[in-house]
Amino acid sequence: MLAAGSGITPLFAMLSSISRLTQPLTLIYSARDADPVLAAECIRLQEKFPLLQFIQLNSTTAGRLKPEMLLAWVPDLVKRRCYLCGPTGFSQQWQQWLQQQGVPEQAILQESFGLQLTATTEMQSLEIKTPGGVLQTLSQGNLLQSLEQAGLAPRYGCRRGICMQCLCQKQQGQVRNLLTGTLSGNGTEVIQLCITEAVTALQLDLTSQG
Amino acid sequence: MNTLSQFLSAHQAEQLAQELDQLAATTRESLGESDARYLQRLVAVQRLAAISGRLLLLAGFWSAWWWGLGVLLLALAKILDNMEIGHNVLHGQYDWMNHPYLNSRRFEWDIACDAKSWQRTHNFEHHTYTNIIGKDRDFGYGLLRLSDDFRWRLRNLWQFVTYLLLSTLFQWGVSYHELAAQRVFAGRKKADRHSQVSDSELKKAFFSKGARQLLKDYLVFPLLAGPLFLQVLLGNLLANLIRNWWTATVIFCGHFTAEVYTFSAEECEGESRGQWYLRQMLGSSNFTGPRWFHILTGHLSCQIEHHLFPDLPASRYLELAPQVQAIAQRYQIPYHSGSFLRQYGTVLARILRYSLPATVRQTRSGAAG
Repeated sequence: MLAAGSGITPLFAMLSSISRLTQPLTLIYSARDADPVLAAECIRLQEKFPLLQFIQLNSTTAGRLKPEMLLAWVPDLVKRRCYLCGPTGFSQQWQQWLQQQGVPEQAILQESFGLQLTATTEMQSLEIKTPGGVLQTLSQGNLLQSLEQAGLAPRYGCRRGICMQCLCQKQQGQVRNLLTGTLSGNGTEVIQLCITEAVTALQLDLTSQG
Repeated sequence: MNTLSQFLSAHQAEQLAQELDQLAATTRESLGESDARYLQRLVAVQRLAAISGRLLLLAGFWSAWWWGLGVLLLALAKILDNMEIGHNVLHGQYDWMNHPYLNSRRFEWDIACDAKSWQRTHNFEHHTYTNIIGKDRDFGYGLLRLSDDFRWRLRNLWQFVTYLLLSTLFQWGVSYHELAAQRVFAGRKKADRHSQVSDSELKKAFFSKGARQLLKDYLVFPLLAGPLFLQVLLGNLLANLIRNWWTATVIFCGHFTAEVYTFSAEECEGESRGQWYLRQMLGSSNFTGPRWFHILTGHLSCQIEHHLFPDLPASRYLELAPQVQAIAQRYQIPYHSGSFLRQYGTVLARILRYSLPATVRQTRSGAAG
């Protein structure tokens, strides 16, 4: 488990709600000013769960979490299931690195706190898998319109989030639902193009439509 | 003649949208384990009914009563598959489950109609353009004249018979619906219709799905029964007919009862979200009944709630209905509901009434028909 800043909260909640730990688990908590109460609780949990290893990293003094540190603490990383929680950039960066190390996609679970929201007027880069190959383009605002402006012809219907004709697989990146304002996770999920906009760089698979 | 602005001002429409959006958001947040289990239990019941129904058709060898029970069970299986499961899964109501098969992109249903074709005409066209004359082809299916907005034609005189035929062959009517709209086989292409699917793709889907269904019910299963070929074939035929009659009846009650409103394309131009909600309410009607009855209708008995929230699991509509009704009352929007028999009665009356042109009806009754 990798927690950055307030990302410790859900991970701690998970740990405090289980009654037994039957597999080795390493919780790394990296923060500028860590929550002393939660940190103390995590240290105590190590007594309850012998297989729990809690490592606290003060990113002000020791610097941010680096790959070498992670590999040193968890050598068998590739076999583990990974939980990431923190600001969007943190989760995305570590997810990419973990996948590069060979951790399968399904073994990485993440939550991002959109604390570092990009403004909706910012351009985001899109990497789109189409039947003709992979296309790189920029997007601003409504994804369906952005794709059409890039010369693509995604499937669509009502263009207002009712009919689900424009469903498309998002491989990576965060989007915002324009109707409800909710932010998505960073991983693979199906989105409605007509009512979402990109909040971070995205990877989309247009061949997954219809 | 702007029906929408008669009921709500622009500001009221905005407020209505906010209230209904909030209701949907709260419900969406509460979706979870119990909804998933409900769907999976339903699928289990459907499969059990299908298997036992098909097996009992064979038992007709001993007694026709077993065969009759088999037909009913198979009809139940088809009805559940088409309505409470199929229609709702294809609307994306359960996509949040991330189920490998019970999702709107993968599911295929036990009916002649290709699922993707259905999604285009129903999820997109019907739900977006509900009751807009000229845009919602579900309002009469291009066969029946159900309001004075349509010009009277000679064939409307016998449209009650057309209705009975459509009901009997409903699964084929549904399957052909998109091809009729696209004028694939007959008629001149309409200039303002554009489709993202080519005619040849439409034909391919229509014939391949139709053929698969025919082979399954009228060749493969009968052949598997060996000497009992004929009783299985007849059983399958009757089960399909029962499904056709039931689904047609329920579906007709959704938008063709006495009090529904129709709309013109002009008045819905630039429609706001609140006005869309209003049109959905004015154009749909509910009927009442016991809980098992609602399930058999795929909760299309709650047509109003379904049209307001097509992407929320239909099993939630019954609990939403009182809240929707309360909102309707506050905004003084009519909420059409009644007993099933009453509603269906008005549907039949509507089919008969508009068999005749307005002028004839006025002279006969001495008042506007």
